[in-house]
Amino acid sequence: MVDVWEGKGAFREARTFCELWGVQGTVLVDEAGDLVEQLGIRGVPTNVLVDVDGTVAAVGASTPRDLEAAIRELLGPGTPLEEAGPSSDWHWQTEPERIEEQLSLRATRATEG
Amino acid sequence: MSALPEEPLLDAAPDGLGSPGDARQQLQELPAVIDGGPSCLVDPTGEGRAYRLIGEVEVGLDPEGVVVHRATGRIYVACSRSNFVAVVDPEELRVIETIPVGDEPIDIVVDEKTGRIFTADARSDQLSVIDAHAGKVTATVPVGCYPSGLCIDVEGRRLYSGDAAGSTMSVVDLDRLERIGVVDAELGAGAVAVDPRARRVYCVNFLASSVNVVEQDTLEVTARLPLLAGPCAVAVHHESGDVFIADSLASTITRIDGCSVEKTAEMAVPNAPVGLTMGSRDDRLYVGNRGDGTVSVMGLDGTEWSRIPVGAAPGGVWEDPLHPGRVLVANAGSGTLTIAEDLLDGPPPRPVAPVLHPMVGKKMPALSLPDLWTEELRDLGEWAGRKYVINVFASW
Repeated sequence: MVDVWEGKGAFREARTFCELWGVQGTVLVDEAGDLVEQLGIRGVPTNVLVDVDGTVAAVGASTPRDLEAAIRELLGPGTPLEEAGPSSDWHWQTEPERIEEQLSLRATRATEG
Repeated sequence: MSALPEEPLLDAAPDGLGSPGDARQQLQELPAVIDGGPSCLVDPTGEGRAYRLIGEVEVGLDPEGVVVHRATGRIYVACSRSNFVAVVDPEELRVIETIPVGDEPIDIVVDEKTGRIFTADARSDQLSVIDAHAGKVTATVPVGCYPSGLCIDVEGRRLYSGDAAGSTMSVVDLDRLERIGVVDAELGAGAVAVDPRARRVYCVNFLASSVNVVEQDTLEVTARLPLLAGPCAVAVHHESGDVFIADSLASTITRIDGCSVEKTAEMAVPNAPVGLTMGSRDDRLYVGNRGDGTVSVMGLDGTEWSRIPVGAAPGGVWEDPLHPGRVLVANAGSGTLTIAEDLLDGPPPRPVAPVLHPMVGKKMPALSLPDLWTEELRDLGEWAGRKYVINVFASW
């Protein structure tokens, strides 16, 4: 994942975001926006799919369904891939309890403050 | 689908503009006021232009909301990470003043009766009340936790605030500047819209992916509809009362019948719709596509009439009431305000056509960026010889 366009406090903001949403894996910070400028990316979220030879295979595919289709095409026929499921199943791919906990903590702090 | 559809907006441009990806750079190189320049070449009708770009103005960090003050004609932009409202002169196309407000102002609305401007200061759990003539905050109104969406019922003299972390909708008396009611909504309550004829308020819940229908007189929730993922903007059709909701993570606009309060359509838009407003002509919507850097001009049947390239990661969209068809767009990624003019009188003979992103088929550029956790530089060599997906995101 690549974090962009934070404006200020990029590392702090991105870390808070990743902790809140349970984001795991490699996260890079494009503080100056150099990579997105080179790629001609004009919005978020955007997925960039890259083939084995370094060629860009797709740009966009931000909904789970579109991303699944793009990954299937990138991997080629016959490669098993878990279904994304119906739209009602992919509202949030993190634990709702975790979000509620974080938000209620914030609400408590605001009340106490 | 292997790539997002993009309109070949500039394919026919005679000045060498070759791709939508070049449009922003080109726009930056153009003079502030563009009257018939190369960015106006979109021509789905074959007879006239679909839009005209008037200018792009740097306003502040992460602008999310935009509104026009009728009495002065000035444009007010809520810059959420600058903690101020930028005031833009629409003639000079520059910021003429900034007004400090609370922390993280997200949405902004104007009371057409008094001329007061209100911001939803999310991290201050309050509204700031701005006297436009004095150019300063003259009052604050405490509301629920993390207010992020506002709407006003001018005649009813009420303001409604969606309080995301509090899972509530606050009701504020516009004259007394006091919170007079709280409605239990759901997690991520944000965008709100009022239908004064039906005496209803719609409160959209981003995290719960739902909309609550609230009776204005009793403040009772009378209906709840599940929505697709991440709904975060709502608009009401003035004539029919039909409701349109932008599902940002599903890239759709949900249409709800204003009489039966039932879903009637889910209409696809380019990518991550975050901003939405009903056009004053009541025949079209303006949709800010955060994932696409564009605003879609969309018929009420879901047909995309034209697609206007704006700044990076657009959010709030507003139509200037003093200049019908003039669209104002707050671009969170580029920290800018785009002013464009929708020139279509009605649906064009053919809608926007999809094209591949210009990077598809090209080699990835060199990449050397710091790791979020270790801050050590990492480069593409680490992933050479593999297939991979890069997800580009922002925390806001």
